[in-house]
Amino acid sequence: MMKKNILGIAEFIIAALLTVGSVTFFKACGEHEGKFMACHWAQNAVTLIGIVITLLALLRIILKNSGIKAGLAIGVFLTSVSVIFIPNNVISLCMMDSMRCHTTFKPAVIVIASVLGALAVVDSILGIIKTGKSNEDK
Amino acid sequence: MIITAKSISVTFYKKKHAVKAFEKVSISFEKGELTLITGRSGSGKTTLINALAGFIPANEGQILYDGQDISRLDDKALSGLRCKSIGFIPQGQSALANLTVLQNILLPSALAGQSNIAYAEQLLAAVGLERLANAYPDELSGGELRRLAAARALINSPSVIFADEPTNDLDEENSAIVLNILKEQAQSGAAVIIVTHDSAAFKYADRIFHMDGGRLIGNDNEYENTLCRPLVS
Amino acid sequence: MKINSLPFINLRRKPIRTSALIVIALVMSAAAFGGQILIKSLQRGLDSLEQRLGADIIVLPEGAEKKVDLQNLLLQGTPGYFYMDKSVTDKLTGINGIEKLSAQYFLVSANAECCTVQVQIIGFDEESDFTVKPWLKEVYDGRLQKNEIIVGAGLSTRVGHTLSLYGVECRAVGKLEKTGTGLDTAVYATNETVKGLINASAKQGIAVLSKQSPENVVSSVYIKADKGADIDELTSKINRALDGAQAVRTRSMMTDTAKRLNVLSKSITALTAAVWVLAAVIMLTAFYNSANERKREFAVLRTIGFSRNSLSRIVLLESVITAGAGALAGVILTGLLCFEFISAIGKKTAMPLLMPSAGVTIVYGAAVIGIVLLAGAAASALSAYRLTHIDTGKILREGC
Repeated sequence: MMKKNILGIAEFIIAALLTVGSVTFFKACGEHEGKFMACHWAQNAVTLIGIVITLLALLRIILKNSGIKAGLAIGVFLTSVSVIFIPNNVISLCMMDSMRCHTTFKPAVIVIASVLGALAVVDSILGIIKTGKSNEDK
Repeated sequence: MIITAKSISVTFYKKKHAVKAFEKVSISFEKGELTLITGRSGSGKTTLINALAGFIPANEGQILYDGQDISRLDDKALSGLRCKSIGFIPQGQSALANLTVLQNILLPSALAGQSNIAYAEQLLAAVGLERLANAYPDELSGGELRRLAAARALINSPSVIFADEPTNDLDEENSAIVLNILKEQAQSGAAVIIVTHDSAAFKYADRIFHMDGGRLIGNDNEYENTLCRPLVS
Repeated sequence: MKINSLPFINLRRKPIRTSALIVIALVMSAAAFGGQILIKSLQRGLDSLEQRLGADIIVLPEGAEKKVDLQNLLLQGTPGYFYMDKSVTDKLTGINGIEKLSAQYFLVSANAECCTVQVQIIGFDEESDFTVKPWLKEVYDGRLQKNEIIVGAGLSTRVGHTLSLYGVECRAVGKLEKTGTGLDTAVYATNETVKGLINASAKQGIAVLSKQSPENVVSSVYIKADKGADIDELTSKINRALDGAQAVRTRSMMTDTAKRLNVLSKSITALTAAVWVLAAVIMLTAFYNSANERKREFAVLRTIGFSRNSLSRIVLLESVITAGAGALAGVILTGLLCFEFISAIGKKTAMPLLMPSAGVTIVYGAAVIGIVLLAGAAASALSAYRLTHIDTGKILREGC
């Protein structure tokens, strides 16, 4: 049980880290004089997609069918890759490279999403191979 | 293939004390014959077949495979000879733990540059392991492991087969399976040499030799370079 | 089944040992690669700062805290401003040994558009300038007009877009090359524009200058000495001639950082060495133990007909696969971390960090992977030798 889901559990933990981290230890720039900075919306987007990935990874662990597992792993992979592009490419951050959203939020999101994507791509490939084999057996 | 040992001796050194495993043994093995070498533990019989297979160099004498002195072969040539022409069933457990039963049997075939899956499956069926083809050795019993070792030794259809205590710890049924397969190999033209102290094996033998205190009984002249004369013929 | 797949099968069947060896290789490569990239980044940042300033001597108002302000501005990008009387420039022109000099104004914006952050504004004289324009990445034609600005590489403002400073819309017409220093987040404009901004700030009730008129002040003067001039001597000559201002040798501003570079590269080298020694010991022990455990396995392989060469190949391939996978993962992960977090590290440590170019980084990464592969092969060589020179007869005789 544990052996089959080891990658799924790793994905779940990292996705949860992305979600929780995006509102805590690597959050973007804070409010200023009651106004949100430009990067706030990028942070919201990352948190939202982080929740989606966490749920996908959770389903990937819980569900038994290896085909569905592989499909969810592909889903985790694609959404993780999309997260990489959110800060500054899809949603612009604040104006200066020396600000928190550039120095902390963006690098942390890119690194965590890349690691998650790499894990998920391995998981997807292994999952597809496994599904192919179990279909042959049938 | 004819194997001829001419007056070979093997001496070990344990803490500088010379221990003679056997001395001036001369013996010859013909194709199509199943030869049994018996004797008590420590009589030197395992060392003898290890020397005959080239794992232990003889201090004296010559071992000839079809007239070719194996002490003159380099490691690559000797390994090639073992791979293609010699099947060796070592004492004890010899399955490779990382490989499945089928992979264990196929390994010598893969080393020879082929992958004879059909023959491997035939051998598996012959030793009764066909349903365990994809199991790993740690899932097998002692008897199954011994049958696996026998099947692996036969995959490249060797012309010489050495078996060291192949029926040790086996029940009657398993013993019979292993001995029958070895007998079949002899009948189809291989030279089969079995070291054993299992009297159940005697009835399969074409020739039986006894080893005692490093000497092969049945020698016409134990200390001369002459061929052994079998006790039973 | 292929003989070449044997090492892969062996590794897959020993997942814990394999993962441990991969992690060791990962740590080795991460330490070596990360350490080297940091050292190179600091060297490059320091070089670029020195080149970028382009001046041998900087004249700024008297007082130790002014020097600290300038250092913070340059190294950390902390916006700052200070002023001295413009007459300083006139006094300087009379001193021998000065090839070029150019005065600058510093100003800090109160807010800029959406992101309420302060921006360093540097006013420079286009006639005499030798420190800003040589570093333009996106060239603009002709001269800076009033309310036209050049932006540092660290600002998101694109060329052609505008930036609101004290309510004045300023159009960005050029962008500078990245330096890894505080200068990356500054905005550059002509003196005329800066004076306009000072007036605009006064209108908004933010009095930057209380007593002096912007016409009569400068913040700093950049000096390039004549070729062959003794810069230390020139510095003290300027200091003697000036009142209420101090001349600082540019290099002395950077000695602190240069010293830290020295300490940093020494400690990184020591740390890397410690990690490598530890890893080497663990690797050697792991291979030594596995050589002991695998004696019987290899004796069996000998009976099947494996030659010494083919057995060595198995051991070496196993180590090359684990070391290669670990080193590759280590270099990619460390490269990504360095690339992403370099400005955060620079900000935290107040050091100018500028990543080496992609080409140099790739060469370093490849070298590190190569060295880790060699280390892995060397660590396994001993075990390969032991396993291929086992006494097959003796091991087989010993039974299980």
